[in-house]
Amino acid sequence: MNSLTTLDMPKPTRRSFIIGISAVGVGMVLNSTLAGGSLLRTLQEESAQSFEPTVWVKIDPDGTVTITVAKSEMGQGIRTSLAMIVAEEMDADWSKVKVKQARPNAGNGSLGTGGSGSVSGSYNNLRRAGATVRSMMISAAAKKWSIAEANCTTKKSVVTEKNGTRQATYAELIDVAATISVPTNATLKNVANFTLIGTRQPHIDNPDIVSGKAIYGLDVRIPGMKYAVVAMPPAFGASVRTFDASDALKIPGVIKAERVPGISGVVVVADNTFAALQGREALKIEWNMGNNVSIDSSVISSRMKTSVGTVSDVPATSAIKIEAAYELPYLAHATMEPMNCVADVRTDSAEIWCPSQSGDGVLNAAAQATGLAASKITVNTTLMGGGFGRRSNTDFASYAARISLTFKMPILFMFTRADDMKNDGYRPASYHSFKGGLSADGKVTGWIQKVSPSNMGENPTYQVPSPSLTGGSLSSPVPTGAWRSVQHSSTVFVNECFMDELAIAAKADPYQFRRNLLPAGRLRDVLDQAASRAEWTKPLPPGWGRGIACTDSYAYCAHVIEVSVSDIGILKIERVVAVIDCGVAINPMGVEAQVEGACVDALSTALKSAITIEKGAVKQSTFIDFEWLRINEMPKIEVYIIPSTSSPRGVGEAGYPSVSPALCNAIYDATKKRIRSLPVQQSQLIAVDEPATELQGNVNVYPSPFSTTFRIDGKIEQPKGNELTFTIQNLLGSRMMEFTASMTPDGTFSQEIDFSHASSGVFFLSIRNGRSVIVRKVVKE
Amino acid sequence: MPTLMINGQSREVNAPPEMPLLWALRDILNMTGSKYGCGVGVCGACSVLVDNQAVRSCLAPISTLVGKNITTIEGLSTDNSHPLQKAWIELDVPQCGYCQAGQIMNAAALLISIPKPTDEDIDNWMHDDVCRCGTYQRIRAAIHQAAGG
Ligand code: FES
Ligand code: FES
Repeated sequence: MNSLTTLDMPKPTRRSFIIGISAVGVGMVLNSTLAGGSLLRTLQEESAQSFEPTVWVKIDPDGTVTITVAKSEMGQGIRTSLAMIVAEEMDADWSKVKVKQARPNAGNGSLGTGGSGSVSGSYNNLRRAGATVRSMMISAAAKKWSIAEANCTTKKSVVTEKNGTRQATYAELIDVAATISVPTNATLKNVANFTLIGTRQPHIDNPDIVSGKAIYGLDVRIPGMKYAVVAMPPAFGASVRTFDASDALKIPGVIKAERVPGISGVVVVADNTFAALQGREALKIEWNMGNNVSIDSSVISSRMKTSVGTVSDVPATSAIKIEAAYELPYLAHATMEPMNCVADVRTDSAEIWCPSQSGDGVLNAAAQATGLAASKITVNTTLMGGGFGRRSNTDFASYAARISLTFKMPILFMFTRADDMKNDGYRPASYHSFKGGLSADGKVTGWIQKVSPSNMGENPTYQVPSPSLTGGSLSSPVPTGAWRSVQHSSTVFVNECFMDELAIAAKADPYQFRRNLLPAGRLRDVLDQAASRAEWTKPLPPGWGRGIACTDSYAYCAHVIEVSVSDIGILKIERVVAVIDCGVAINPMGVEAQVEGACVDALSTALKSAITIEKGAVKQSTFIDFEWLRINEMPKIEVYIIPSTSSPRGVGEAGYPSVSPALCNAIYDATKKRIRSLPVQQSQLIAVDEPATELQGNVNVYPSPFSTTFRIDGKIEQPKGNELTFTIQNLLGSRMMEFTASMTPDGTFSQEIDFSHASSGVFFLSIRNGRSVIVRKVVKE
Repeated sequence: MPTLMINGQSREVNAPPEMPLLWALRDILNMTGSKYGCGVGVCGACSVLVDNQAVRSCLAPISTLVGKNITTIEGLSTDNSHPLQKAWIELDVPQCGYCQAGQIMNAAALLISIPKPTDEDIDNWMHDDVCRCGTYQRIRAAIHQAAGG
């Protein structure tokens, strides 16, 4: 059996035309009128056994076209773009197209959604499916009208007789079409003749999303369903020693508070989420803390450094030798919808509803957790409130299945935000030690990198002579996993920054230096386009800098970023130019969205967020200490898509890797400060050339943290005039507030600042008098 | 058993008075349009209108809402005809879409209070709402479009 064969065949409503197309082009037609709901007709009867459709297309008598897709939606727009490919070749009326989510059957991996491979991997199949349907509709019309097929054209689900007046909708042709043999090699369109692919189409699910009707995992409601949370171990490797659930069970609505086999915490089940959370709060648990409580970020950092050790030398003939070490932190996925899953495990069957990037994996996990055969389990994939790789794991599906199995009731299991952040599969932290060499005339003579852990390294995409990459292993209790763009989130950052270091050492222009190391081709083209769109050679105002980086990760992508850095080290992103060549852009509106979103991810992780380890556990718990960019910090992002007729490549991750190196290269250009670890600290940004004149005196800011207002007072030395200027900026340099206030002639001042309108977070308060300035950090809770 | 006025309908809510509105909506009344993102008031995914003001439903106990008019995403319009919903669809704001009910409800409160907001007004009003997918550029454009500007 295979992934889409039986479970996903759209339910045959009367007189619907249903066709499945497999990867090798075999078609199967099902028509309930002719078949009494059961006929499967294939071109070659014997192939029915091994028939593995990758897509189903159904046409209803009312003209609705339903396309069943095997990939799942996490915000990357895949339900829209996959359906567009089928509808294009089919000449379907796009306004009548609906998308249905496939269910996994045998868990053979075909529903796996990741690695930005959904469009590129199914493009040809989906085109063939659409073309097959179109060809059958033409055959049907030709047969009905007794004319040659060549005399029929199609548009918007209608077949028209060339030079004639006859027209028939696909819906009107379904009975005749069902009697026609499925062609094995329907002709595909010439890419130049596409009319739907390449147009800007909003997500097909938008109407459901903006009305609150869209169903994510947490929105699944089934009869008798209860709500489950788990008191999770407080450190990696910790386990329950004893617990007392008597208080928890007194909370109205709490049904169970027990251990569940295979789950290393205490499970609370209740009538609603609030009761479950209150019940969890009321548990008294004593933990065995395990072996990792002495581990914190600094321990992991020194382990990485030790495992890298010394780096061999570049060729002795190199006229210039440079070396540098980079370090990157763990990152959480922090999807907007935390991990969750609904499971209804019965004696001899089970049904699962899961927001998953891997329906097949969920099926396997549920089979393992319950001991049921996979064929007895039905898995429904819901919409996902973000994925970014986190939902390729299936831990949450196992939890749900085990809890439902143990308590014999349907349950919705969920992680709270904090559970989710502390129990992730993190983007690995990494340490990279580089040596590079240049000849006297600025040619690269050596590129050597040692990295820990070893899977976080990659040689540069540039033509450098015999690059060397070796790695050391890392022992760390922190679980890791795929995170948007996987290792490229780190490898492209370090490679593109070190490449910049080489360019600067060679006294070369960083763009031209890169360009000279790239063969003619699509990567060099996006680099050129980015430089020209960003007006690379145009002079910048003082205090500004410009950086460039490019990558061939999933698609070809390049970024140029302009920043300004004030004399007190406040960074502002002035301009972001992104260029992508992803082959045929199925839905340019979706491609732009992915590049914009990836840029927000990259800037957030470059400037604001990191996961740190304390006492063997993740310290961060919510969007306050693991911050994401907010609307007021959002720079304008210009996205340019290179027109192309080449096969499509993936866009969900391609927009991430080159952002942070372009940013840090721009910071270098502005400040001559090289950023070698993320996130960027403000203290790293004080310009070397223009040290700030520090305001002397005594300044107190309190309370900190504050909730609505705070007070600042003190006395400055040698005041100039009687005016002080107060400026509050956020981490990205946006001015939140600015005002002047007076002080007494001896420099004494006192000011209460109402900052209640601002969101919580960290801000910089600068106080200026004349040309002197002092900066204080303030934290709003 | 508190009675709440939700989307113009009076609803009896079989829940303890201290239950936050979010869970009452989602788990008791099966209205799942308002989302859980953080549960501690820092993300905005759960935003609803209470007497035309944006309120984080994850923090508001239902006992404090008796006698007030609550509007959730389900009640913003019956047919996606609210200018914000139209603009959100047309400009393709959602990516995963999970934060968008909250974004739209907060934007609805903004337009009630400032019918023609500037970029700065939008920043000041909307900066407490997290969109993990990074749709901010389009949220801004859609608010302007909905405001008719
Ligand atoms: S869920 Fe209410 S603010 Fe995040
Ligand atoms: S659209 Fe995904 S979190 Fe906003």
